[in-house]
Amino acid sequence: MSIRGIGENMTTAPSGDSNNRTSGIKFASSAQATSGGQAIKFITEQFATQIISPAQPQQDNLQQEAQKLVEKHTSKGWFGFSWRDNGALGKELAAQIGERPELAKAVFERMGKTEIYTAQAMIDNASDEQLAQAAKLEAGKQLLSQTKQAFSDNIAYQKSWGEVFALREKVAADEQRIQRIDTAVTEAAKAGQTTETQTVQNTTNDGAFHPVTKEQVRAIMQAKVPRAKKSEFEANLPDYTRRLNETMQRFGINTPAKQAAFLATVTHESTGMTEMTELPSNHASSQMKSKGRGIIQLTLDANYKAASKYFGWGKYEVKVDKSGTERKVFTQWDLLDKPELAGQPDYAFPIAGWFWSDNKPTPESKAPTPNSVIGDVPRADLQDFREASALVNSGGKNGRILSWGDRLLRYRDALDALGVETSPELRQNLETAIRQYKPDSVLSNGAPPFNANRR
Amino acid sequence: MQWKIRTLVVFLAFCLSGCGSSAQTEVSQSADGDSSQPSPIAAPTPFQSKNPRTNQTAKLLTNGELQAESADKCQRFNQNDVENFKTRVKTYRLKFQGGQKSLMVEDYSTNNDADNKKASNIDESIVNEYMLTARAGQTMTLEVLSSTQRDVKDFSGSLFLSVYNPNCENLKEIDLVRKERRAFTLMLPDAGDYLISAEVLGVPETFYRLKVTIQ
Repeated sequence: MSIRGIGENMTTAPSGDSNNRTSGIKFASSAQATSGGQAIKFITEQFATQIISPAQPQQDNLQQEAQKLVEKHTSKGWFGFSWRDNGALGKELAAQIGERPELAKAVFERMGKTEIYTAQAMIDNASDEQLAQAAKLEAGKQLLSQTKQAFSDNIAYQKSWGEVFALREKVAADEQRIQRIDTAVTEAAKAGQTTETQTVQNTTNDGAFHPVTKEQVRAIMQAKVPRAKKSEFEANLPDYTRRLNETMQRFGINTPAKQAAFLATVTHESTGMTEMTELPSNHASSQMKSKGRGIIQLTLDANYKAASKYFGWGKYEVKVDKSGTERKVFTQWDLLDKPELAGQPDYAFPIAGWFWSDNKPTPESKAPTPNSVIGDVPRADLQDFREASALVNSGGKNGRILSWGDRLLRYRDALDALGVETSPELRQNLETAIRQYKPDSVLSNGAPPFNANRR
Repeated sequence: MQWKIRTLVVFLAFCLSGCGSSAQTEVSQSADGDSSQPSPIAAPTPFQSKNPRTNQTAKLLTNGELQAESADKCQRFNQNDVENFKTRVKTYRLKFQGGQKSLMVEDYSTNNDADNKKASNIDESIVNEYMLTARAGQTMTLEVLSSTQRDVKDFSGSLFLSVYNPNCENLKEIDLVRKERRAFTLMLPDAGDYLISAEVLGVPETFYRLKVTIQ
């Protein structure tokens, strides 16, 4: 992301003022402070386009919360005259910036006329940890970049050169502070260690993306990992957790309920991410060239082709159709030519995200996807998870969901591991469904069915 | 200068021969019961499972032979894994009676990772291995059936089977619950000892019956 915007709308320091150049920051004259609304506008836009995911269903609640917050710090006087305590508002936002950066975004949007002082107060009152947390929660450095820019920008709004010079020391300190945060975030990412931020329970449906931790992934998947593959699983866990988070963020699998359903499904489909390619067997799917591969066990030529097309893996020409829309016309699909690619992590994870969230006949299609049928709150009757599972694998007789019992067990583990709030009714239905599940058809050898209830 | 080097070489040779025997002597003296000997390093206490069923062994339900096998042919688990993940591996050799093509064993497997409620006493995982000899070109059919045991829930459909060829290469993996099937057949490409591994995945414990047919 480019961070141009604020500085470029300002003049540089007056010539001959070498002191101003030492910090490497562009200064603006006080006269241009009035146009500095662009600063917050920039921040707001970046929040909207870079950090926050597309509109979430609970957006209305967030807007209402933001409005209340703004009103709380707005006093009304005679003749409709009102004023806002930007410092207090910024301070209150600072208290939540670490875990709820989207609230700040909503507040800035709500204010309409942007306010640099609110942003500045927010930044001044947030701790290093909170800012680092905000940066980490958003899986990027965008917020940090904005923070840096806002620190610099603060100087642009001083009323006199005296104040500018007085701020010089503060800016230097702020730069160091940001550097510290930056370093901490980078080191934590490199080490793949559990940090305070990473262990935040993603129990909130606030619309922001909350990454899952490797501990949570382990808790969900370990029971399905064969003992001979435990070491391999542990060795891959940091990398696979990162890939899962990248995938879930990219494909809007961003609420605890959605994440639980997705992770339960990939756990079942890939035996805890240990079976990336189906070994040959007398099961029909394993005999095909496009047999089950990856963490969601992508199967069938049509799906291999569709995934290639979606990700642009292959040779294609861009052609303009009658309506003037550009279309990619494929002549070669990589996943069909080299199906083994689908079992490699670089392909397997994004494919799973696409299959779960965006596998539709056409981009414009309103056909349901597993991700779209899972709401922000898990349904007590399990209908959402049932429907999502059916979209992934309903290969049984009469559209029956294959291995429904194991999917339910994995779903229960995922709900627990992610700390998803569930109703007692859901818990009861889940346990009952697990207990009562009996595959009814495919046991050709006359053995009693898989019956979890028998004692 | 030369005499200095010669002296050094002689000294080193003396040290190499003498120092070693001296150390050995000290050790043997200590072993003879000298009261000043350092206390021996305590052997690690063997893990004691709380699960009363953990010491059960496989039962043969048909004609044939079943023997506990001590040799770890394929060495699929190193000691660290066994200790870190609390895994007990039980290996048996299966032998067919003359003229018979199949035999059936009844066994028990646990998975301590699946005991997420910590309500039961599944504190270790039991993986069962069965070795048998076959000729190249034969087929092996594995069939998992429910046990008649009634003291634990029947999760035999959650078994995970792996078959290794005589070179200890993984020939096949079968997650029964994913396939919703209980019978699988595979061609055996080489002559020698094949290893079948059976463990329960995703649930805490189960009894099961495994029917192995070679023809």
